[in-house]
Amino acid sequence: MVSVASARKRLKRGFSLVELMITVAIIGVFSSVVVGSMAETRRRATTRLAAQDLLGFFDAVRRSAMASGRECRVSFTAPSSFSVVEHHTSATAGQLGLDRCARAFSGGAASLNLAQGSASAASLQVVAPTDDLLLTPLGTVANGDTQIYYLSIEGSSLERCIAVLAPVGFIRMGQRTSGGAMTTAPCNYVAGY
Amino acid sequence: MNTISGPPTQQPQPNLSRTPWPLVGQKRQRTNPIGPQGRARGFSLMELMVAVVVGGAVLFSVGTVLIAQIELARVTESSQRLRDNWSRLAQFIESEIILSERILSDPTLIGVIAGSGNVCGYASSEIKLALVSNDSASVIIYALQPVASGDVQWRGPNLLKRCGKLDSSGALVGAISDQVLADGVVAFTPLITVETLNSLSSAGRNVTVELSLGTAPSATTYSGRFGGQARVNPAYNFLNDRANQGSVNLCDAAGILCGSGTLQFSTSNCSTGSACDLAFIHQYHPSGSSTILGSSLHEDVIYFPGNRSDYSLYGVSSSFPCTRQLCTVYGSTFGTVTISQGDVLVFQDGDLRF
Repeated sequence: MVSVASARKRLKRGFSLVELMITVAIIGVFSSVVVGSMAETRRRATTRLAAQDLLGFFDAVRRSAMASGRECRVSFTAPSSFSVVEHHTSATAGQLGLDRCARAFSGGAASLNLAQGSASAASLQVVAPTDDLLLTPLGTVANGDTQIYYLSIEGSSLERCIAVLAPVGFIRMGQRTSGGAMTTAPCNYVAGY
Repeated sequence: MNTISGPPTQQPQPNLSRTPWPLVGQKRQRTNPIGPQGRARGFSLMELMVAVVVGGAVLFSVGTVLIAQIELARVTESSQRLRDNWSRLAQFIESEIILSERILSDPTLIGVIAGSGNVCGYASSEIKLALVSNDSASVIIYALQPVASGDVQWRGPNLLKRCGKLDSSGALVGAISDQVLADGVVAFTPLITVETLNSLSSAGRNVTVELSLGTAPSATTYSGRFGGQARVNPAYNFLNDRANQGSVNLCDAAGILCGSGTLQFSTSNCSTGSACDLAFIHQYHPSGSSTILGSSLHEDVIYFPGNRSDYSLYGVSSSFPCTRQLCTVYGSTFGTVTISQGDVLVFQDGDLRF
């Protein structure tokens, strides 16, 4: 039978070094797992946000084309910038006053830099089609084929895919797991993202 | 003997009030849960378990409500996107229908009219609608193709596909392409009804397209119809109407001159409503060798049975081309029809417009 006095004495003794080391080791292992998982989760969330930004930008350009009655062209500039100009226009740089697509754009912001948006803290990689995206006043896509944009964060195994379907212009978001490198595996657009 | 005198030494008395245990014969006093050092007594195991259970129940309830809200927001967004997609798709198809010259929904007739236009290889059961451009030079075919199970690129149950020409400016020129208009298509059913066959002018038709989009595998579906009264076909869209009318002879309809000999619209028979010269479009259905005298003030449309290849067309003689002023249509079994001021010759597989 343990007396009260001996119990108090044991409590006052504190923890041994081995006990402390084991505790710290367990906490360390647990923390590393959680932090690692959090980092990947954060990368995925960042990619998703960037993809949503791009999707919203395309949709805004489409509305701009419909509002201005002009064919609007979306150009991609590496690493992650997009800009919109009127497709058939004499406007040049610095003369956006002639560009109805840019003027019709809400707030006059006729460009999108994903690196300054939701993905500012991460190294975002964008792979865009060779051709510019052409959106007509009818809200349709003038490109002959579906245009697909791939977004990923360095170190992440997941890519987001934005597909603009020609000719109706539906914009779809999907994803694919590629093991960190851009591959030609088809994106999954079926599951809800 | 010296004695040390002084105040009597006080022996330390036990502090009974601080003794945790009562002395023998004394009743133990109940102490305050807050001890002398101000430390809490703590919770019993039972109290902790009850607290954990209550807390868990509260968390579960809140979590359930939160998840339900998230799911509701997702479904709402999905439905909104579905309606938006439906509107855009309907607008696109409707614009093509409005600009087309003929609309066919009968698979057999589409097979006739499409001919080599069906380079996309759609099965006849998949073809739902065919449009002939207003210059009779291009055919657009809409088809509904099932999505294979396990396909990660396209939602089921069907793809709505379009086979036809379409350049970057929206014109029907260039190469024929096979494009997916939309996935997740539950139904695409063009309904063509002849409403005014017996009217004085022409066979105006009501074309309605029933379109349902879904978000499979979830069960959200958005359905609607477009077209309706917005579409009135040109008079020379009888190809589909012939099939729709079944045994009805088009020559019984008002506004169409049928028969042989000399066919010419006049004002004398306006009271009877037959072949009245006031008709906006003059329509002829020769039954054999005849002479058709058209009008320069009206659009004259002449229908022929059979395909274009069943006839040879020439002008005054076989060495002269067929023109609007004078065109001779010769069929070995049909006879010879001489037409002046004709505007549109309609055959089973296509039109010839001057």
